[in-house]
Amino acid sequence: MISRSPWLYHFNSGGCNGCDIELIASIAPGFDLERLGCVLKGSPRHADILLVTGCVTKQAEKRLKRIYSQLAEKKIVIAIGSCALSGGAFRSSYNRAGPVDRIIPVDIYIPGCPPRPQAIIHGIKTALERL
Amino acid sequence: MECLLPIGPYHPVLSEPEYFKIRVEDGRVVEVDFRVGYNHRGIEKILEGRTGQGVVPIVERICGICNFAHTTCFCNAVERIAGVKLPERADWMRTLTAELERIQSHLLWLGLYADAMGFETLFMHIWKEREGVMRIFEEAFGNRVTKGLNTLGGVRWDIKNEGKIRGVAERIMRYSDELEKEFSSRLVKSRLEGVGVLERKDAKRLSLVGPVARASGIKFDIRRIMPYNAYRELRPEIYTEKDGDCLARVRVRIFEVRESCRLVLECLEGMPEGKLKTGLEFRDGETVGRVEAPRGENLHFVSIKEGRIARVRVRPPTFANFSAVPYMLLGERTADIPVVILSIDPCFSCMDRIAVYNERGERICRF
Repeated sequence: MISRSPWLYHFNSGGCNGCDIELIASIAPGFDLERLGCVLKGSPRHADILLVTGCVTKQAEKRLKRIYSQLAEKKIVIAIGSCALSGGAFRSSYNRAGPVDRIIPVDIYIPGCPPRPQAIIHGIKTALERL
Repeated sequence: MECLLPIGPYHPVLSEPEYFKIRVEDGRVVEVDFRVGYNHRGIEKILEGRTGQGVVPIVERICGICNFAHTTCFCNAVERIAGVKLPERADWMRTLTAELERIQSHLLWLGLYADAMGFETLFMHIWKEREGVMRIFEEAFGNRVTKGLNTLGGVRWDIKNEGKIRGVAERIMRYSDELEKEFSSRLVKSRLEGVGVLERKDAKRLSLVGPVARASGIKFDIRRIMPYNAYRELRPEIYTEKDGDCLARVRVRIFEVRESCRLVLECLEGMPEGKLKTGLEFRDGETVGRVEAPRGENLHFVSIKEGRIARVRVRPPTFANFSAVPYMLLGERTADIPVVILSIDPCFSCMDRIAVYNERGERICRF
């Protein structure tokens, strides 16, 4: 049983849009992430879970830290996609500061390029059990 | 009263990082400045010095929405340098997938646009239909977004689910009529009509491409001007609007969804039998590949030296269209800013090509 209703904040740290669109697809009909009580919010101060996609470009690094500090307690971070996990196709890029767990602590890793919506929902559900 | 309105770089309206500095006077926009480059990942540099089939998956990661347009553009360019003629079936497979991708991309945008107007129900409806196309991709290619279909010298797989593709194309064709009705309702019109107008001469001067140019009355489509792949035989109809406002951009895209469905059905009819790929060796030379991506003309300059990629320059459609946004925004109400920015269907991950730093690691170039 899920006893909490956590809100999500999505941070695109310089991805290719693939994971971002799959994240929106998992909210749209067909997958309907909102049945777990999750809503995408426009401000990190309202959110319990931070979803990070992308390979964290150098411009995004400072801002990612700042957004993490604004996140409501008990800050749960989910890294989505190969880029966020390891750099993926952009591993050798000169403008990459990532992976995400080098910058902020990450709780859940969702691999895939991009991960399927089913995988994203599974990851968020696992995070819910930790809340 | 005058005030400065910063939007971004991380803002709920924009799904990607971008920064707009907008000066507002009495609720109207008087000056617009923007900075891009937050998404710069240095793909062009990563590609340099590489060779073999391994470059295609990297090109595919330029953009998550129109990845097939990017790989088609790149592969067409490299194949032209190598002097390889594709097997006919590969040409048709590329066209079929490109048109499916156009349907998917336009539905995605129409949904997000409905959401930006505050019409969330329509967003949900449109994305439900889009899911049909995504399921086709998953069945046919094993992945929903990055298809991995293109390879240098042909395509990697054959389609297996023809019946299903036909069913989805027919359903979306019917749905596009419904969509047209939704988007011509009184409420939507009051939000979009006459907003973000771009005249034909301005569109021409700023050299816009794709649906944005077509909404301003410019009949420009690479599929007709420089036919590639199976477009040499299929002739897509080009639809233009005269008004050049946000509603015209929506109408152009709805028409293109319908036209793409027709092309998909035609592709399934006319698909020739045969081989899927031929061998290809990297040969020295340089050329430009041009394809019509969902957002407009996509252009890759490819230069190969000593069997390795010496330079790839990617000029995605958003790069061409983005310079028009400040012109569209001038004089608009503050509440219409998101509607106008999103009307060009910006894809910043495609377009962020450069970032300039000083020796302290601070970004110094506005680009």
